[in-house]
Amino acid sequence: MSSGSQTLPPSNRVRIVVASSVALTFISYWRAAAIVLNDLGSSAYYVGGIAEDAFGRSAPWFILGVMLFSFAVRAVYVESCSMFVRGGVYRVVKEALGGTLAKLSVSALMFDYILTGPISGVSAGQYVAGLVNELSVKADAHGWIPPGLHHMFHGTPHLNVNATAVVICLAVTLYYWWENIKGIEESSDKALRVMQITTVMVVLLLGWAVVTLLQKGGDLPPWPTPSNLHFSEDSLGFLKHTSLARTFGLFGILMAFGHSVLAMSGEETLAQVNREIAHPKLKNLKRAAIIVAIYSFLFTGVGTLLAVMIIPQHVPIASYENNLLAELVMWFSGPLVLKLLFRTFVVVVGFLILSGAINTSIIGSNGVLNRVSEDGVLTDWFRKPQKTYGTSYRIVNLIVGLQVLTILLSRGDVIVLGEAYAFGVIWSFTFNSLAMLVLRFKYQGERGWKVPPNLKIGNTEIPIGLLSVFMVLLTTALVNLATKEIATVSGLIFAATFFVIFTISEKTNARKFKHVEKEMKEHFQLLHEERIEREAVGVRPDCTIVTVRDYNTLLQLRWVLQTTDTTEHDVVVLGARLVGAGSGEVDLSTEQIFSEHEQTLFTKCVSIAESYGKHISLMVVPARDVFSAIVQTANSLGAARVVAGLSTKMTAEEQAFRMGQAWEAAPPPKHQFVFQVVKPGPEVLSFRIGPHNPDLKTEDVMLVHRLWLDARRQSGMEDLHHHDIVTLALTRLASEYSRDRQTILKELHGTCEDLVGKTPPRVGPTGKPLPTPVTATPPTDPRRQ
Amino acid sequence: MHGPYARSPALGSSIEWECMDLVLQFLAKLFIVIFLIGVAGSLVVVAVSFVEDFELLVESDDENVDAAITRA
Repeated sequence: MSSGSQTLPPSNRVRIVVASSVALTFISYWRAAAIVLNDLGSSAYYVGGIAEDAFGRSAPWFILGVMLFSFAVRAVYVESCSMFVRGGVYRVVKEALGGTLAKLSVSALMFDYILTGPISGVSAGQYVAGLVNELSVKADAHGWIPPGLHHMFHGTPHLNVNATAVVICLAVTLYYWWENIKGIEESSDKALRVMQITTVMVVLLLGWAVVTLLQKGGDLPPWPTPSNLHFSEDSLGFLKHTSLARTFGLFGILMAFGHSVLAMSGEETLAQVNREIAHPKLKNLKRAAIIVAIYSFLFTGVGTLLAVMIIPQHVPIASYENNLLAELVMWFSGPLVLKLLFRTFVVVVGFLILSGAINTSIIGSNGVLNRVSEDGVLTDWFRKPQKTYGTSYRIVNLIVGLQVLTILLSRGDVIVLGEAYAFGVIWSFTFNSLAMLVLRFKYQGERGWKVPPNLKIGNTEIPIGLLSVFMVLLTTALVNLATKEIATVSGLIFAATFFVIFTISEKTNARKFKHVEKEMKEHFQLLHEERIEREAVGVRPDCTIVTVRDYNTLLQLRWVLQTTDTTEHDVVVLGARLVGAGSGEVDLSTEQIFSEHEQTLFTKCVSIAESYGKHISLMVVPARDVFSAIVQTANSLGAARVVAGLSTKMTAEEQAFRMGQAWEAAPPPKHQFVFQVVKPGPEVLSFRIGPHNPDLKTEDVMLVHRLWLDARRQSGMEDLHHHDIVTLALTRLASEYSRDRQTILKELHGTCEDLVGKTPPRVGPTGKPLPTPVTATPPTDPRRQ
Repeated sequence: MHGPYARSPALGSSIEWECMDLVLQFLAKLFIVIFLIGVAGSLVVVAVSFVEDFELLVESDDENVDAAITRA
């Protein structure tokens, strides 16, 4: 339905403007690198133990090799991201190889993501239990353990490492499940902070290791030659009964490389985070990628090498395979107390980064499944928003359910999890590189960047670099199929199950979509607009935007319609469609954004508008952050006010705070508007968003006036105005602020304290308090404010 | 040659197994060649892209934001 002044479209259907561009907030390349490293860097804690367990002490060379090779895999991802804003596996493979292989590749990726959580959580638990047991042994040696406790454990008190790991992993997973149900933000702040702490730990760890080597000396691990590879029976997989198991020769190098490949798990996160990277995108993406590659090479690659050099050969691998970095610390030179303190620090950092990886895995899987769901591969049932929080809770439940099942089945064994994990990692990389290779021939046009080197013969360009990377990935993936029994069996079952779910779901969706499309055609006219513009929406300046999400709570719309003359001011009902981390920036189709949920929601809105006999305009925009989407829409439409219902998650002040933050982060041009929150009652709280005239106290006005009177008496000051006094005062304050910021802040802080209880709380554009409420009772006309 | 069949009777007749073993040996050799060529090419990718990207990392942007608050 169009606004009052608009003529109705030829049919009686309701017009809905559907924007296809996701409203995003952008992050620096440092933050992007921190997010990726939270996933990629965490493997340093367990990959060394897993690889050493599989084929012996030459493992660090292979891990170093894998980390070096990850520079090349990174290059493939950069090229894919330079072609598609969402350069993830699904999009790239779908474009190059079609829907079936895309579903297969995304199934492998899901296996990777689902296992990232359990392997990280169990590893964190192993480190915590290992630390507690170590402290217990040391305390017992000093006689600090009470005899009763000693008696209870029949010796030194200790934790069952695997059982403790399961409990800790379950607890952290369930914690993040709840956070994701509530819809926590994917905070680059947190990721950056964790990586800052991790960097301190890595510098100390590597530095102390080098000092230890200089003092005590150390042996390099055995060179990565076939004669130095000692495969365990499990690590030979299906080959254990073949002659290859005894005479593997150079093939052993390939097998060992395959067992180390999980060291670079997490590269896919680079593609997921790409859409959020700030301008210039490609340049910053490459910067983030090189930071990630160097960091993980040093932490995972060099860290593991130093560990094997320092931990004496007589120490059995089994005693430290799950606690490699912690064991390394215990062999450093220096006092025991200092080593125990540092080990505690290593474990705390490990807990942070590994539990962060659990969250990344849930967010990543949620993003990927949302992404395929938006493409019609999963039914809308999966994307149904949670009633209170609006999150895709069914997808989150599915992911966490599978993770909990994996944790329980693994019984806290990192080695088993590591075995299986490599399947998803290597196959998603292989599909991605194959797709990029195909795209080189399918789309020969210019792209942002190409993996070097490329040989041009006549009109044909041979992508030597890309082909080389694909060759390594494919051979490794195929060899892993033979040598990793657990990975092959579990990975194939998992991928096949997901593939079947995707295929059935896609067919069901296609049938259902035809029906929904028919209904939509009867009731709604979807107008696809890439970007929101006032002219396209057909509203006049200074309109009112009403945000809606749950069709059961539309009090704000009723209040606006009750108090607004729609012949004078247009009312735009805005639904922000939350899209997951796997969603693209610019190419969502209308049907992906306007789902069954939006249809029900807008049907209800139209029915309310009809009951008031007033016109409304409807609009739906996809968004990663609801507040950013609202602010950007308000700016584009030149809205005078935005009206929302009270959030179930935050207070009205907090809503205004978030709105203010989004306003600050929004790109120019932007203008001020009034944000109103309608609480049940109805009670309306109003906040001004953006710079605005302050509410001056009477005494301040009087002071300005007295200063003006005094200055005005001087000759030559006839043209002096009150605003000149304010301008001068502010200029001098700003100048003093830049010289002595702390003193001014102290004085302002004192002023705030003096005002507590005297003035209402304020919430402003940067989240700083603003006048609230502007109006305690609902205004009859927004223009009168 | 001690055939693997002797260790794994469930895997079929010895001739079948010998044939399969030969196929595996051939595939292993093929994979080694492909893998090593791939590794050599990937090293070039690593070297070229590393130099290119590292230069990008150390070069500064001209987008310095002056945080000083001034009305001048």
